Amino acid sequence: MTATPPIDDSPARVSTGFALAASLAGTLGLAASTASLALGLVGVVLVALGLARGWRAAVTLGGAGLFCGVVLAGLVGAPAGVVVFATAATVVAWDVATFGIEVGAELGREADTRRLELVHAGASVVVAAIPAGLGVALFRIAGGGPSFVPVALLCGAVILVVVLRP
Amino acid sequence: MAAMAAGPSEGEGTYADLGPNETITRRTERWRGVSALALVAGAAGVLASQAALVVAGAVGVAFAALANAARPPELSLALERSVSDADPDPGDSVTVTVDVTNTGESSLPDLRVIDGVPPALGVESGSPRLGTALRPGESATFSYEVAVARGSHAFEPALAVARDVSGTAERARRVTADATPLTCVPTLEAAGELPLRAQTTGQPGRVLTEIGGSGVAFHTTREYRPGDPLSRLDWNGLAKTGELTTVDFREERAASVVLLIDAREQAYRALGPDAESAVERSVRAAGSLYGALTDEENRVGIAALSPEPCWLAPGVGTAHRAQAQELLATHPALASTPPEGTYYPSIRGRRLRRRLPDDAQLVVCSPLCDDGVVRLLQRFDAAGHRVTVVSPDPTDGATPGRRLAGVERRLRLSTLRSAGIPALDWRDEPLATALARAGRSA
Repeated sequence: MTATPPIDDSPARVSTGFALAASLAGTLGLAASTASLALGLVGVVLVALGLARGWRAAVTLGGAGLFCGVVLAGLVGAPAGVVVFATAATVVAWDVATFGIEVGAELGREADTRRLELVHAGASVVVAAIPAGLGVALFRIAGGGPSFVPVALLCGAVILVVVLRP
Repeated sequence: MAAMAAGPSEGEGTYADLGPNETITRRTERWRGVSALALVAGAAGVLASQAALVVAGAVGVAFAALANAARPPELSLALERSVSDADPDPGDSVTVTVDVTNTGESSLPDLRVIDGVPPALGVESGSPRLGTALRPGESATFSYEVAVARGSHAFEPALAVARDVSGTAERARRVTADATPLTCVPTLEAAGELPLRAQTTGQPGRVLTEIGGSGVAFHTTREYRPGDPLSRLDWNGLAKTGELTTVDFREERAASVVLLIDAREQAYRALGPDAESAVERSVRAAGSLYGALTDEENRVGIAALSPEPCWLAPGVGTAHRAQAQELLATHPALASTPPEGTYYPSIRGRRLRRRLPDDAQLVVCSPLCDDGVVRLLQRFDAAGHRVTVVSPDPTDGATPGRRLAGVERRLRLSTLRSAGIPALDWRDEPLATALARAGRSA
């Protein structure tokens, strides 16, 4: 006679699928250069490995790989919309993947966690989409000229000071 | 992105010390470092004059802002638990349905509930855990099945953990629900016959004694005394020798028996985490013996060697039987999880001896897993309470350690036998089989 038997603590299903889809979508945007695409693919493989085994560190490394790919693509001059989309997809993939691992470890696969995962994934997409959309719109309006960078920096600095004030 | 380090790992373990209706909050630091990501992207964009990267940094800023603004959500829940059968038989599956309602003003975007399954019960199917999101007034339901074992099983408070939408601020609380304990009382079924020691009360019964009188089995012949019943005169002897003699038979009397169950921490031995413990088998044996012994018109009581006092005075009758059934099923001293305290043989043993009626004999159900219990039983026997031991065997030969434990246990059995105490070794077999073996050898 024991207490509840150990749960199956592999990552939750919905989050796993969603995170894989998001990281693949992010990689699609990295086709600007071979190097960035390669980094992105390494990132996707690491995220997938982390999701298969429940390794949080692998997911974080994979996210880092994807992000490095995004920075590379940005440096070689990929279109702004694509770079911002890839960044958002990367952050969402990392968020949903680590969330799925956590939920799997805490509640187990047997438990009904669909609603929790869907709400979290949806919130994550919305939170990523709003600044991405606003940023791209601003970028289009400003015309992407040389004056954009200082203006964006100023705005960014103000936002950072306001939101990160302890 | 590597700076987006994992927060401290969490789970049920983090809240192991959380008391009922207590609330704690903490921050998971999930998004720690995401602003660094924004800065890296922004800096790269500035240095390489790539405006797109600066815009990309805004995504990181948004998540950092969300995490920074996060406050633990108000956690106000109502938990309702219902069971399909509150009074099941052993081995039945009972469906437990839990209904969680958000009674607060704000919605809970991230709610995890882990129900407090009674520690002695195993979940058979489904999961006692739920992850969901609840708007104010909304409720969610989950259900699971547990396999019921003997005992009274109270549910523990459920653990509810709620987080804000970014998963940064967390509030945890133990939510108590209406007490719906599962009570599982096995019926007492008589199995086999245990040869009792010749220590009896004055009442007629079925235990053969060494006292001459009326009965069936021959005892002695003696000189006739006026008043002896005619039916017991030895007419053949009279015809042969001309002397009047009377035949005495062994009297059959009732015994007063106390079933003593070893429920000390040392007796909770089992072959595996899912196997039946020796205490569980002892309780089962005591139930069967209660049935068998009362059927033979003996007075039977129940006591336990346990830090928790447990005593039912010897008695007979339907009411007593119901009391015994209830005690064997639900007494905390006989719970299926080991007791917290230590058993002090000198104090508890003396108390038990004071309670025992002078003419009571003991039938002890113990796996004999230590030497202390052997000494204790020898003291009881010497103090005039005849002892019989029924010992469920919790050992097997799978590992050298278990083989050693088995040998030690057999040595204890032979120590008892050489002290004149009958000791029955109940191996992996029905109790009736073991009793039949004992009956043959007796």
